[in-house]
Amino acid sequence: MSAMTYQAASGAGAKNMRELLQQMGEAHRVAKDLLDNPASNILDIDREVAGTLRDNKFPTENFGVPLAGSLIPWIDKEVANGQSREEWKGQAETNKILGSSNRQIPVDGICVRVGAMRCHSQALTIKLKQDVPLDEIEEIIASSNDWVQIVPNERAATTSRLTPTAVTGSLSIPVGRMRKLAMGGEYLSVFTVGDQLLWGAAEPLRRMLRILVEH
Amino acid sequence: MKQVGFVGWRGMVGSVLMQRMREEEDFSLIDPVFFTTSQKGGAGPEIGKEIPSLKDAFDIKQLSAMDIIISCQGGDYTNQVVKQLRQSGWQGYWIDAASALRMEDDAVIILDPVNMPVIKQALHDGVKNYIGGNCTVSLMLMAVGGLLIKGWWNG
Repeated sequence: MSAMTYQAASGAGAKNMRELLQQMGEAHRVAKDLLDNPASNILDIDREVAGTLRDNKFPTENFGVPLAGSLIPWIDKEVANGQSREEWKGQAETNKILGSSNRQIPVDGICVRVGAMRCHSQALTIKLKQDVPLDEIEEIIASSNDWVQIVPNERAATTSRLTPTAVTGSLSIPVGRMRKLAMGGEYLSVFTVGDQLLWGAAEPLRRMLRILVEH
Repeated sequence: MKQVGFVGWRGMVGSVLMQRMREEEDFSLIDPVFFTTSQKGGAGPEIGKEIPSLKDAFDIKQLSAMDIIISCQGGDYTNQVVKQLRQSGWQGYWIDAASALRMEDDAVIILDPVNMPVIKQALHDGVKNYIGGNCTVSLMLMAVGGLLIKGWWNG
């Protein structure tokens, strides 16, 4: 399975969320006069914004580089094989969580920081054993837990429901853009979004507490 | 009721945890004790019931009185405290948001909608460390874990 990620600022910490907003504000500030003038040239606006993003006074204390108006295709440290540590965790933790010690599920991809606040998105490519029909796949995913929600692979539903903005602050795990890729019927594509602070951090802890209390 | 210690409840993840626990009335099931690394003796968070004043998060004796400890304080704190706590003979359950202990053999990564059988087995086997997973991995498994468990993947 390949996981290409679009990860929010919150994963890097509270200070990074603040810095993302400072960066956005700074980018707007330098463009404001030109923006307010409907006759101004968009290329002039773009030049101003690019100039401030590259300026060494641009606030990058936490991210190290601009995230607003840009992205960062490396998360966490380097590990020996060309992966980032975040990418290494994909396979290591997936298999530990599932307890699949005898036959490792290969998981790899590129982890990218984007300018979302607290929801991580992921484009997944799953190589299936065989060309399983989409409706069967949908059924398995839809019934796997109470929070997953299938979003039909249509433009309107996708752009309104399958975004960080739609999901933030909620426990919903929308799963959409589900289709077979041009590489063949065994290649499934999926896009999913989830709140990094809820299912990605706090929620499993309080649920474990409940499990222990009832144990 | 079980005594449950909270460390790092003021930070971002800790605050989300407090909010969710209030919403789900989890505090009614436990005796919560709040710890601090800097404000010993101060007042804990508002959780809808009486709680003792803040205890020192580095006081191994106070921590040892807990049945369960939940830490959102970060990996440095975990590395500093857990070893001492276990060496003191503490047999309680350690629940942690940080990655420090995540890949240790005596720890389980918790994501119960996906791996409840693994958690149940670990409880049965006497495992005491229950660690939250990497956020991206947890979110990916919440989304498509069903397919992976079904064994439909090829690799």
